[in-house]
Amino acid sequence: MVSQLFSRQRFWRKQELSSYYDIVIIGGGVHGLSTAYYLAKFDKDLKVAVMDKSYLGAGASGRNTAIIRANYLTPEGIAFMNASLKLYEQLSGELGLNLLFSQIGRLDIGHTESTLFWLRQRSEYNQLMGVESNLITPDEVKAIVPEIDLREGKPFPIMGALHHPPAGVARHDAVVWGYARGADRNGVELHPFTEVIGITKEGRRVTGVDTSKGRVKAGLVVSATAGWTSTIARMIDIDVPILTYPLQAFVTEPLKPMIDTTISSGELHTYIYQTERGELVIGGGVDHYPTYSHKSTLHMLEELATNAIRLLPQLRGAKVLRQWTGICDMTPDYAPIIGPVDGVDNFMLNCGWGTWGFKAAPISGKTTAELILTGKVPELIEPFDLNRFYEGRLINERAAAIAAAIH
Amino acid sequence: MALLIECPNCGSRDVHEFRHGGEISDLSERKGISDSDLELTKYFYFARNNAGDSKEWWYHSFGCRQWFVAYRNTVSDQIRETEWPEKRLDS
Repeated sequence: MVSQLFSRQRFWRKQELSSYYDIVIIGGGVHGLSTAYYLAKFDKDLKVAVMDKSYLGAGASGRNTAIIRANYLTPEGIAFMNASLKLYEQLSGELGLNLLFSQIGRLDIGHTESTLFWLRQRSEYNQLMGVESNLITPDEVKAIVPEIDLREGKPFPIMGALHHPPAGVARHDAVVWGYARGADRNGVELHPFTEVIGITKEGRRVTGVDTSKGRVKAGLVVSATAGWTSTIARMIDIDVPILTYPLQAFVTEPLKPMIDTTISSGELHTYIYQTERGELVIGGGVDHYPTYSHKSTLHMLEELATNAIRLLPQLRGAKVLRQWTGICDMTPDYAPIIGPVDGVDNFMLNCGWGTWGFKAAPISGKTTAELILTGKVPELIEPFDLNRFYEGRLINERAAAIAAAIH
Repeated sequence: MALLIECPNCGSRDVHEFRHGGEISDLSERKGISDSDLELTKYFYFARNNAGDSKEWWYHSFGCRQWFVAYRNTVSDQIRETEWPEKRLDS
């Protein structure tokens, strides 16, 4: 028995590529895998394959800073992200894997009167929709984060904060692995290192994909490729309102426990939290021009470090352990795009995750699976169709990534 | 990241002196589009966002304040060539 507990088991099987699948999902990141997981959970007879050009979770799924929250600004965004947060609360149990999800809360710091007004607006919207979210005073901020620099008269003084207790962080790789294992157990085939290089079409109907391992026929093709969505869109000759921007973050060496919440400042474009290992994770805004390059820059490191020290002066001597970059599919209104595309049959988009994708993965996969299986658009994702850009129904979710999104 | 950009006026300068002004593609061409909602929204929001060669506007905001055209590979982030947009203005 004990030896069984410690026996090594693969999380998912190695599979040979078949010539046909009911559904091919391009992109083995957290959105593609959660879509596959829920598809197979709801309908075990479906033949589903997930393909990725690299290893599973190689893209933004393994590069994000793992924050989960629902204190958004628009009714569409709040409802969607809150549903995702609720799924995260149950997800370790559902997947049978400890995702290290800890609800350490969230402080959105305001440094000016106008930001406080905006944070107040958000707290009212949040409360109206049943999301715990309160405007708190600098002294209350100090009670939660004793290390915060409250000195008056300094640049960017702290005038208050939006406190969102249910927010949390999770081990992002574990979410990828958990969904991958769950999908595999329900019969989904996972094909890492299988790059989709083309999409086959007959008239307006998508019929399959060309991969680096050969041609595969498919009843439905779902693109869940985030930063690479424009490349997929080119394959079937559709236009998408996406620009690909790099997003950088870094961690310090492990330090003694000093903050047990996540802190974000929209004006400084910087956010901070401390991991269980003691490293401080510090992230910020996207780079100032779009690129697919994954190179990290000294400029961004200096900017983020400067701003982090403005919030927590004790970090002045901390050493940087590592810095990394992921690429983000930014939409003009900071909201995702989920659903079919006019003029193309048997194809579905799941993209526009910009800098806000990790927290949305469970509900994104679940609603996308529901949409595929029922043919009816679930209410939660109704506002996120591609046609909103043609029809002027933009969402303007400015709270999607207040610290991160400034493109 | 292309750390240096060759401004046609000032020569090689740090990328942070410049502002990216968007791609120049069939989707961003203003000429010839009608004022129908469809074409206008396409012009405003949609982009080729090519992974590879890209022709785009750059602005030397902390320098000579001139707009110019750059040919950049968006994957390697190398800028192959920069030039004045004269041809575009003439046509």
